[in-house]
Amino acid sequence: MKKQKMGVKRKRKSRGSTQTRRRTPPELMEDMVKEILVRLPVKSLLRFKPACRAWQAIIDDPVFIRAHLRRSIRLQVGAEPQLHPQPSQHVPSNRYRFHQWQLQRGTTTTTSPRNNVATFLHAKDLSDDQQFYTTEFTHCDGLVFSTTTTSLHVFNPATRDGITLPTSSRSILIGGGRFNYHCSGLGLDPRTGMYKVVQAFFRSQSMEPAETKMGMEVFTIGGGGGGAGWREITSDPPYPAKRFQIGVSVCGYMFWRFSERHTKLERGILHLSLEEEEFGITGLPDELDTDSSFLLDELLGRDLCVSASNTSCTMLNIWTLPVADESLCTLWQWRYCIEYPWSLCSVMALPPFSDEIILLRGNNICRYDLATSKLKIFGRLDRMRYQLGEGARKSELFSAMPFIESLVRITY
Amino acid sequence: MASGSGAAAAAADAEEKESGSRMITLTSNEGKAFVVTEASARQSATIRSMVDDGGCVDKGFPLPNVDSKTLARVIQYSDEHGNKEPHTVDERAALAKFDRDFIAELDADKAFLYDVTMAANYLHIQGLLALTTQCVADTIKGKTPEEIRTAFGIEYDLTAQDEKEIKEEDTHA
Repeated sequence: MKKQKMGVKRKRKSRGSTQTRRRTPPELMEDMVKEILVRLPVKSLLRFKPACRAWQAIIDDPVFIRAHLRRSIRLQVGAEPQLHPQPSQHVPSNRYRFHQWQLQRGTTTTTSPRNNVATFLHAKDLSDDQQFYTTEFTHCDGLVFSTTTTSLHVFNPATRDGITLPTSSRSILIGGGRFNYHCSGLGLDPRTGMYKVVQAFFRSQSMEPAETKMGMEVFTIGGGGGGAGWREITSDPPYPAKRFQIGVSVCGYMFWRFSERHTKLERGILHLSLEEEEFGITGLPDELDTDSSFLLDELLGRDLCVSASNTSCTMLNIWTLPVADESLCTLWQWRYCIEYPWSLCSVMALPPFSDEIILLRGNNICRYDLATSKLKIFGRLDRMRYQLGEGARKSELFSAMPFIESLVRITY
Repeated sequence: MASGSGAAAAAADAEEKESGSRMITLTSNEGKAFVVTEASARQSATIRSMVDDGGCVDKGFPLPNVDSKTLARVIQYSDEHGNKEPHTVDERAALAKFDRDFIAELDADKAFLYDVTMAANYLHIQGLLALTTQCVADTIKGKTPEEIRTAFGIEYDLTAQDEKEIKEEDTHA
């Protein structure tokens, strides 16, 4: 309203020429430019930055970046999700490569030429001492978080940006390095609008579950450097989280599975409020067998998802927990029970974010058609054509995750 | 359920008729007056809030940022969307077709498209703004910064230092 009133004061005298345009009230001009820019893909926005100062300022503005992201998320509802195959290496490697692959409606064969090309987004070489083996990845608002044997990395493949986090003195790697040890995650602190990386360390380790104590520390991305670095979280998790695990982050909360040795003590999953930096326990779906293993996934950063097979590995059950607003509810919704002949798999998308249930198991992206109750493999990560995939080796392994392009910036 | 929603629709219709019975005058920056139904005018959040605040409905609303040609086109949109509420699938399809034809016509005259977008922004007509800005976005998606400056009449105001920083930022990864 304020802007309109300001606009009304200035008279627009004539129209139809570029001269008129320069007389357009600047506040109105800026509003309109924002409305247009918010509808453009990241690639165009990066190209438009040098157009002029005003545009550059808009594209770099955190409020605009968030509006652009929200719009991209909204557009995913009912649209085909974008997956993000990430070649990771079987043999030691120090190169990350990011590709983007758009799922297409109605494409059922894996050999369809239009459906097996993954567009190159970004490659990042790490220094020689940062070699990594197959690792896990997680996605949050266009950022990709990954761990290597020696370090933690955050990328924005769309803006071709990436940082390696400083090492922390607390996380002294015990017994075989981070590979055997790490437990970490990336998520948004909704209060500050800053992204936080969290990683665990042991205060004490013992064969006795009750005597093993875990602490966690946090690194705020863009926290202004200034020696801020890693900061210890005041409270500790009630029980240690499972090792070799990247947490799942939804709406300001991060979730981890507990270590197996402790699941007998507490049936639930560990959560951390990124705003309060307080830990808690979120209950599991009542129908889930106490001793069955399960996987955690996030769906478009809105819902937490638990999936588990029955004991004979014939059925897959899927539950979701909407992590809405401020309070964390524990009302799990039992969404699907589908015939599924293998063991665990990641849930990548569920209706209404997609028409079908989309699952990832190994290199296979599977689609479960709810109308026909048929499970189809329709994408194989190892058989895709990777654009600019120079140096591709046969021994490569891949990982994929749902991905939303964003302008979110990453700095130390 | 069916009768309930029918009654609600009837009530909405009655309400619509009532508000639609008032006429509102919008005046372009050239002083030309356009008389529209209140329902049509209420498509604009700017006018809606002025009406609801007990503004000068009788005197009409001068729009110093909108010329006659643009205003006529904007009214064509808000009449279509404000005066009839689509209830059936066919009506919704007809409205969608109206939108497609409306934007296709504007797309052919970029300068005019820009004026209508500005007016939609100024008047806060959300549907029209979404329609026109999406069209502009699709048009400029593949353009270079130079082409953007020409299209929007933007003066080049970056210093060599600014450009260097942008380039560095772009390639440092």
